[in-house]
Amino acid sequence: MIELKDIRKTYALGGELVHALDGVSLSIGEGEFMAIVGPSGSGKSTLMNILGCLDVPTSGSYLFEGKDISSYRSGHLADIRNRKIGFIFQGFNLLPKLSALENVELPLIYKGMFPARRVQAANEALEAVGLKDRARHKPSQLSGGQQQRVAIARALVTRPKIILADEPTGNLDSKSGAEVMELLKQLNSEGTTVVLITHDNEVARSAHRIIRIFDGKIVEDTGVDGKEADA
Amino acid sequence: MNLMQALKMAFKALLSNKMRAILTMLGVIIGVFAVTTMVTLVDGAANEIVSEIRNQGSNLVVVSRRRIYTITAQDMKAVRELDGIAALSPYVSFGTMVSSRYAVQPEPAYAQIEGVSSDYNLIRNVELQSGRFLTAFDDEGNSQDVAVIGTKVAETLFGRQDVLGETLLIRGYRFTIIGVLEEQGTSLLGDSDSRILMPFSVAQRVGGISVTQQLYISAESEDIISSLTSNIRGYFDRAYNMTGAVSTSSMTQITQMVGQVMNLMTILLSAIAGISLVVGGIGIMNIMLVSVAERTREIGIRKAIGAKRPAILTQFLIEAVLLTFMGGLLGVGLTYGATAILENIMDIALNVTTGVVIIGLSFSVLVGVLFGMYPAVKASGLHPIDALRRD
Repeated sequence: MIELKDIRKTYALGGELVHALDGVSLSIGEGEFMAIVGPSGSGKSTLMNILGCLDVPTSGSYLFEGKDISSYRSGHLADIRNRKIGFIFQGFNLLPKLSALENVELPLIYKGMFPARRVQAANEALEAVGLKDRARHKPSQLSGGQQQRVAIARALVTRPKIILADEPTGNLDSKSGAEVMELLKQLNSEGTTVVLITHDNEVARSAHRIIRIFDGKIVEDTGVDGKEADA
Repeated sequence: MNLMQALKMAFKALLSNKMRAILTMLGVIIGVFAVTTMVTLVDGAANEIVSEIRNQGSNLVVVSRRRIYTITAQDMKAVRELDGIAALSPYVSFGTMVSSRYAVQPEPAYAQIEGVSSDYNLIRNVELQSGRFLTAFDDEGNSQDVAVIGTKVAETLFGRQDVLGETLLIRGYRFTIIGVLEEQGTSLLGDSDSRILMPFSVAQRVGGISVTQQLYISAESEDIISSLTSNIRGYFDRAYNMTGAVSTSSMTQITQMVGQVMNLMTILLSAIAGISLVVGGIGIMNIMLVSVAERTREIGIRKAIGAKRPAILTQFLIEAVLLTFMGGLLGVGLTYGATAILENIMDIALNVTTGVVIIGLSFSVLVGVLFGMYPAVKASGLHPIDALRRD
């Protein structure tokens, strides 16, 4: 579903060029549960931004469902983010002034869905993460685990092809973290591709495939079946 | 994303910061209030002046000598023969000091002398509170010198208004007061209580004026005024064998002129008031920029989940326009309140017209679009990652 070929991302930082990604090639198949693991500064966040169409690579090609999107304009990329990708962030990134339901509705608003269908879909998504009775609550009235589940509901409400989860358990206690991981596993078992970005090996163990990244390069890829793949 | 949704979102954003929204709106409120009130006031004043002019005789036509030396008695006779003339009076006017032999006040009073014929009260509304107006007998200069005076002259010279039969001294001539005018007060057109009316020939003698400069004519109806004035000019041009012997002016012309002057005033005053609207707009821009900076993270989140540039642009633009539009509504509301109060204080009829309201509201929306555009463009251009990274 996703093909990255020799992706490079270079930043100019204080007059110095920083190679955040230095020739990354990677293919992600449909229905995979993958973890990208690396310490901070390894380039995993940059990789996640490029995978999530939040950023464009300096060079290299990115095929999403067979189409090269590395030169797409921002409006096009926004469409892909909206329709094909669900994001889960470490800091939840819910809008504090909106209720749980309204937060989940948001991607559907930008998709242009009519209000009645939108509310129904959002309610279903909240039900799927077990928060139907918290629909009217504001994020500040929810626990961290609940907030992250609202974020998951927001990610899955558009029925995306792929869910990108950036340290989804980073701000959670172990019990809530386990619940969130359970939800991700369940989503994956229903056919959604899940890409987990983490520095925590324990968390990464839930995934079927682990990719280790260091200094902007992939240093290990366990392969789809968990075995070391040929480089 | 549809407009309803955007409006709801904008409303929510404003409600979450009520105090700031109100303070920001204040500039627009004052601006719209100033513009609409100014226009309403000028409009009211114009109506007042026009109706006052009409009160003084809306069928009035004034003929003034232009290229000829004087209007003769023969001319007057000929003009009176023209169709559509209800009344005619020669007219002369000058200002002078007057006094009373038996004055309570030792110092004299200033008065505007008007020399007219006995028909004058048919041409302009002359109301007497006591005594009589000039008669045809007085016109002939047969009687001793008589005068009809305004209340202010009476009060200044005698300290009272029942002064019939008293004697006035004007430039050494003695006058007997035969009538006192109804008090009119100082109007927008000047002070009509300091007048002294006397027979035309007497006024000419007192003023040392030998020519007849003006004729005051009352037309039979307002509709024939333009044909009458051209007939009058035609007569003089033929009689003196020249063009432009006299000029004519009518109430219609004067009211038109007042209208033009008032339009100019409206434009000028609203331009000045409009400056406060611009200042209000700058306030809007300022606060919208603050809002964009504060909500950078929100913008990042919205972009990450698929909001495109136009959606963000619309969101912030609508917020700005909603602010200014509500400010406009409040400003117009204030105008209604203020004009109701001013109406009582100034004692003139003020009417906030639909046109004024529409102009006020349109300007408020325009200010919102103009000054909200830059912050909105700035918000929509934020890069999602940079926006998400910000706390």
